[in-house]
Amino acid sequence: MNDTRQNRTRRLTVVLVVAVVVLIGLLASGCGGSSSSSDSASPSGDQPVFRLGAVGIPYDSLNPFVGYYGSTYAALTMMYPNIVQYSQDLKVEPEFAQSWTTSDDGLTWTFTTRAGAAWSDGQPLTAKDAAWTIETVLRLQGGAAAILSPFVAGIKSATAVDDTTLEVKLAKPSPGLLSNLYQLPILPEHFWQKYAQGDGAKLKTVSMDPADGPVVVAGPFTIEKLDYKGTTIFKRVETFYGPKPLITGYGYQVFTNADAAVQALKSDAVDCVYFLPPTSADAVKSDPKLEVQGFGGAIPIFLAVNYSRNNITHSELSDPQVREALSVAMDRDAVVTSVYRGFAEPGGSLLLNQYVPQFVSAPVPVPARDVAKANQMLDGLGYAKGSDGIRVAGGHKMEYTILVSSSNKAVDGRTAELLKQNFAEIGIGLQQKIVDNPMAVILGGAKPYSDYDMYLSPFGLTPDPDFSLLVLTTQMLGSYNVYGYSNPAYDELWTQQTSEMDAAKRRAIIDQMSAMLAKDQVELPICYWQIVAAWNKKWQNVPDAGDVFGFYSYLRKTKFDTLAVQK
Amino acid sequence: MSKRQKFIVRRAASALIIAFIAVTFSFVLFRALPGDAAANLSRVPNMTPEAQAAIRAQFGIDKPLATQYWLYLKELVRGNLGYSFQNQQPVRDNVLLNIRNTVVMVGVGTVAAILLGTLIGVAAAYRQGSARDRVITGAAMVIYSLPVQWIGLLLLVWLAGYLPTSGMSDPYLLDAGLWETLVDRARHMLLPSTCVALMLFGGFALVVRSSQLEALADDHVLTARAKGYRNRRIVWREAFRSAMLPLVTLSTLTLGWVIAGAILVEAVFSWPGAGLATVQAVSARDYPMLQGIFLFVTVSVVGFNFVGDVLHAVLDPRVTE
Amino acid sequence: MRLVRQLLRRPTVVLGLAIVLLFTFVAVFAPLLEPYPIDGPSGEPFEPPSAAHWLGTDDAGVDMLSLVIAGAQNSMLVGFAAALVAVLIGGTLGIIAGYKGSWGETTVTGVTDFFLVIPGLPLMIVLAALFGQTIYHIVLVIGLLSWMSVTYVVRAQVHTLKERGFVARARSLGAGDLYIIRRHILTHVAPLLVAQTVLTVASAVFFEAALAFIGLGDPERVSWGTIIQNAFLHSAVSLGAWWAIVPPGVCIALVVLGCFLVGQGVEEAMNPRLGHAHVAPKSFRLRRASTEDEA
Repeated sequence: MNDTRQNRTRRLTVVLVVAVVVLIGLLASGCGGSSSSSDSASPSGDQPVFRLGAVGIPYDSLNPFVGYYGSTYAALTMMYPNIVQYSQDLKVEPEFAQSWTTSDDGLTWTFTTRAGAAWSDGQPLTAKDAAWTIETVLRLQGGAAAILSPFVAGIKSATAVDDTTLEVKLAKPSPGLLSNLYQLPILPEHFWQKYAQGDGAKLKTVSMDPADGPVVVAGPFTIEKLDYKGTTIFKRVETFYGPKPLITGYGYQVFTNADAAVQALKSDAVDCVYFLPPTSADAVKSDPKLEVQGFGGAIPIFLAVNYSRNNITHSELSDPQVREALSVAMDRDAVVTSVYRGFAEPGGSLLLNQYVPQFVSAPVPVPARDVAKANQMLDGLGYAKGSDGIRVAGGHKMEYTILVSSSNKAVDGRTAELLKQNFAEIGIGLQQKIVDNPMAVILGGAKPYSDYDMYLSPFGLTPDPDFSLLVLTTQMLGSYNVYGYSNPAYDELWTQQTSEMDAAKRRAIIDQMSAMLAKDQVELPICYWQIVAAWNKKWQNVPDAGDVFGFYSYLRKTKFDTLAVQK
Repeated sequence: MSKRQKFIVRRAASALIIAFIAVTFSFVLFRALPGDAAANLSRVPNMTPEAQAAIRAQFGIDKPLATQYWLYLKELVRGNLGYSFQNQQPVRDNVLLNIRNTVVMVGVGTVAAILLGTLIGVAAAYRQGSARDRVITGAAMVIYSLPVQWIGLLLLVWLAGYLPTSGMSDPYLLDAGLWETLVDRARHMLLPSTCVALMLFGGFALVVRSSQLEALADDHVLTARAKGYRNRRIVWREAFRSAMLPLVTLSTLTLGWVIAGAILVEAVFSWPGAGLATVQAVSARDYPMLQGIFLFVTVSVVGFNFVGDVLHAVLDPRVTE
Repeated sequence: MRLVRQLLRRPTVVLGLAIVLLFTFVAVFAPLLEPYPIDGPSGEPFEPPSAAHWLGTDDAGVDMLSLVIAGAQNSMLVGFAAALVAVLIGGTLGIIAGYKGSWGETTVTGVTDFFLVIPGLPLMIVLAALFGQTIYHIVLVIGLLSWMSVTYVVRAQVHTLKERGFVARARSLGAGDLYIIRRHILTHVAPLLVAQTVLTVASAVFFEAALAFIGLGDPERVSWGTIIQNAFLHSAVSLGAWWAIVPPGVCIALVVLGCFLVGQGVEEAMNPRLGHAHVAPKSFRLRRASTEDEA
């Protein structure tokens, strides 16, 4: 090979160029990112920035017209006023509206809102902003404000009689008005008005990044640094009308896996981590400076079994007896211990008396595990076991597929495995199928519900059971009704309770509905799991004890007025 | 036009054709979604029928395939890769940010691997057949066979207390000086880059060793010895240069493995790069992001290979034959 | 055969063969070898290795040793099946390219070049995410992206055979194409195909583990890749449960190493020059650079 000086130089140049490029890249990434100025003077009593983290639960978008995640709403509630909010024990309490009355016919609600409140840019915050927000969402509910439309369901109009009086008119009486309305973020008219012109298409494009322009909020916090996939930092707004937080700000960091979160806790890179997988709790417990706790225990996971008549291949699944057999064969305690590591309670019903006694008169007992009884019931139905131990019904083996959502397969996958073992004992075969879009599978196939047996159905818990009960109605077939259940009598009761203003009467109706669901064995609750959180003990007053959702949720503005680092 | 120039033009044309085919291939893949595309795209229960309809319109799902393809190409030229499901942000912005992070971390790791691999390969070749050679070669092969995500997990187990194990930087380190920021970045990058280096160096070592052996057997080395040059000088000056050649070609060849390594290492260390974005896009079934990353990476590899071919031609004129 | 005897004289090849055969044996007889059933717990979650559980247990309390043995079956299955797919495709295309020449060759090399440039793992991820992740999908996906270098190696070998005059002589005697391919080409190319199969097994096992780690493994089956992923998912790292992580990785490394030793040994024996050429060990194949068309 002809090794000339030219070639040598060329090669060296190549090496140098590569090295320089990498070095520049290194430096560039080092200098990248916005440097912001945090509050300089901190008067005494101010606490450091509280570093909060969550495992796998990012914000999708902090633009109120775009985002819909629960975590997003937990953040929005810290930025914008809400007309009302929920207390720790799930009762409606004042927020921006300090009191309210309902007219005799139930069609007009009058709210008295706070006086002398202001937005972060100094503009006054009045009932007019509330009225404008509601009216805009009503006007654009089919398009740009679709995400927010469920919160103004049933409202005909909203007007600000004066700066502190908001009048909301309904189409028909609605006892659950507040349970929808509380989620609506009240937006500053003077900021959003220009984007809401015409069809409001511009609303969804508004950037919430403070680097792109001022973000106008009412507090207690505003966005200081926005990073959806990493850490979003919020700083305290001094003009907030409610109890002032001691911390000057907080950060919300998204961890992609539990190990990263646990390591961060142990190395004091984060103060508190939320939604920790229960399997990580042991890793945290071993560290003396950290504390672990489960909150609530009110988020149910159901075994949804197909009830629909469209399921012709496995029609036996819609027989309440078969469903009851499945229910008593389940080893709920094993799920609680092994899958949730004790951070759960076995469950027996949709609504829990201990959390919402205003809607449920008496607690429903959890079905006791009784394999013998389950076997008896199935024997009684004539489903004999074959030579391989699997029963035969209607000419086919009782072998079913259970859908597991891929986003939660670490936990649900284990639950499904346990159920498989349980059902094997009563002669029923179960196979797991991990899908990214369970609803598409449930509703897909030749006809909706024709190609689906079982699903580990998660459920959000709402303070008002209206939506939880709605899910099982006929009108929800094809959207949220994962059971394929359709019962006109049940539908009728649902419509009744939705406009029953008398609390006692409403509860009676709901009791009836619950009884109906129990008799038909519609939902088969497995357990109610807790939200597991871990934090550094140097912080005082981190958890609100007994809080159903833990201290950082969309139910209300988290009170940071006592959170402090102990001296 | 010289032979080399013709070679470069040919390579450029072939690169462009391949890139175009890859773009079309990607379109076919992602539009051929099993099941109703809209059901997949708008799988979120919270989405109202109106929002679903909006998504359908945006992706042109209800238009004929040819129109969709044309729209797709048009948007691509404008730099529009669609919007991510996960945060409604433009895919292009997400990807560019991520790629930058990946290139830095992987670049450092690859450079380290090249350096380490070269040192080891030369050392082994110098004493071919000896125990040292066999041990080095054996160790390199063994480490090379280890799955990189496994190496990463073990690094996590051993070094978790001493170095940050996730992310690219401390998010609360605002208003810090340049030096502090660099140190912070370096600390976060150390583990993932080491992982990448461990994954690659074995291969480099083996290749450098074998090409070094070939070079040392060459005539001009004999000449150098006859002229009286010392061993060490011969080894490093004369033979090393020939070892550089396969390294350059190898670097573009191993790009596929580097990318695979990047994906796995970023998943283990939560490094906010294109690899982690891929994993997240997979678990969220964020098809626009998946497609965007795939397109970006593929076209980059085509470009990189082209650059590699050009470099190869520059360094070794025989290639242009 | 002379080749086999030649191979068995080299200690590295013998070692590699021993490893591969050992794991194949374990894979085939896995259900008989597992000390505990793997469909349920037989101990506490993340028990450290003990007399009862030599490799401890995983997060669900399932015996790790049994899991690793069961994993061998699926990992080796994917490895060999994907390699077979790859070699079938690659071998056929390589023979077409080498034998036919002109248009056939240009088309094949063009397609092969295209697939060589597309980054492997991202495309596998995309295909698995779009079309499914059962074991059949995975075998196909890996196989469909691993045939490229087989094509080049086989093509080069067929060229050599043509040069050596086998083909011309057979043709002059009136033999048809298919006969020539069957009788002469295949017999000479066979050892090379075996070597390529073994080498592809190594990369297939790697890709299976990579796909599983990202969450695209077959959820119904245990493989070494899913064991590692599972440990990661269930915080084995934070809990210091190294026994849930180390064994499957060691197995993968051993299989990869063993396959490499065997495969490279066969190729070196068949063509001693290859030992010094621009070999890329991980993919265990030749790159198509213009200087290497002489084989």
